[in-house]
Amino acid sequence: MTDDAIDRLLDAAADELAAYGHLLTGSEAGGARLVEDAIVRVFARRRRPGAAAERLVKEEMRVIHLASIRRHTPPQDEPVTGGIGAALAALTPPERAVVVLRHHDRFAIPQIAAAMRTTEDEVEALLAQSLAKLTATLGPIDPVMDPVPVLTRGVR
Amino acid sequence: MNLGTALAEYAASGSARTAAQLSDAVARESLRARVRRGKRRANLVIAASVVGVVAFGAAAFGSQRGPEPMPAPSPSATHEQLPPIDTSGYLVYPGGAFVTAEAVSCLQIPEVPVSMDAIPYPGSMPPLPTWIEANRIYGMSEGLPPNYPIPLYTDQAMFYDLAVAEISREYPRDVDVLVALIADDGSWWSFRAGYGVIDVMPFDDPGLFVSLTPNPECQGGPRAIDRSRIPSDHYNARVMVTRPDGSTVISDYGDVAVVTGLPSMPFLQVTK
Repeated sequence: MTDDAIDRLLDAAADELAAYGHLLTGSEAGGARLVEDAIVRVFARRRRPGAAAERLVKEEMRVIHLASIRRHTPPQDEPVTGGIGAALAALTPPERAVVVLRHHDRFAIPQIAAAMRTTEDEVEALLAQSLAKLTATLGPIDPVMDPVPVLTRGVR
Repeated sequence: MNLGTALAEYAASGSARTAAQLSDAVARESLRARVRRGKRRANLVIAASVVGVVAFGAAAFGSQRGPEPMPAPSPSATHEQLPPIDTSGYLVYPGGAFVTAEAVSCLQIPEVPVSMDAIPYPGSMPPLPTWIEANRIYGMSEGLPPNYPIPLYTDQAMFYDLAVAEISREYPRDVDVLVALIADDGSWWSFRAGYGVIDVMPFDDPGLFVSLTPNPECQGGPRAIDRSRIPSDHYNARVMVTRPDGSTVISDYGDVAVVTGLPSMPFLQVTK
């Protein structure tokens, strides 16, 4: 049952998970390890992750990666020349993580603070520092617009 | 520039090899084997009555590992010299423990003899780290809250070790564990200890942790003025466990260093 579920997950989302691993770590090898470690942790704990498997594995990848940052053992970035890869490689692991969470995952600042177990002020400062570095290389960067809650008018 | 779009393109650009690897039959079989091993370990833990995250104020651990070698005090220890987690020398266990029939008052903590008029305690005692980061105890304004868990061991094999399950079952969470750190001049600071298996720490791998809550009502001596924080120094660690019958188990652990800051998470201090 679990084996089938792993196959289904990888058949449907291997590309997406591999891309996310690469984005977080900057390394194909590191990204592959991250995907596999996350799959093991999710499927070893849950009997049937079901349709949520991809989301759970991505969440686990974030948790594992943030822990690896703490231990200062993130995989080395592969050599990149120019472009956004080089700009990301110039960031520290926490800077890179906060950029990915904000601009790729579209997390709001409080969500990032919770994920990184730090304060919102800390996240804002880290993000500003990271974007300043990226802007110097890549030019102006569009701000992320947080979704505005939709207000529905009640029927009277 | 829309950074989100650029990040997505960059992510996809470096994923082809990994995606192909994840589609490989041999790689998938290896992955399945790892999952099966993980399930077996998890089932072992469940069979021993520990389900999911266990938070327990354990009194003493039924560990079969035996005492770790006690490192000699090193008055000039620097952060670089401190043994990393999961290496030998990181944890310290007491050589023995003793039961006193009477409860031990706060003022008696530095003086109570642990080997006289006391009965040897047949159980085992929980480990302590040989070095403790002050910011994990007291928190820091831009980062950690107080009582932030201190990793004891995070190795996956240990995390699922049956010993951990036995420990949590044997000792109920309402047992009171007090850790006293006693300086050479007789000053002492005390902390309430809570042990737990945690797997959701953002900066630490899953494993066994201890959190130390300052107990400013129970500290004294020349340097422990009012509610002062414990300075960076070497201390003799003494652990006291109050048992339900009112008796106290006391054990000396030897040298434990308190270091300033948070050397295990330096990025929290430099990313302000």
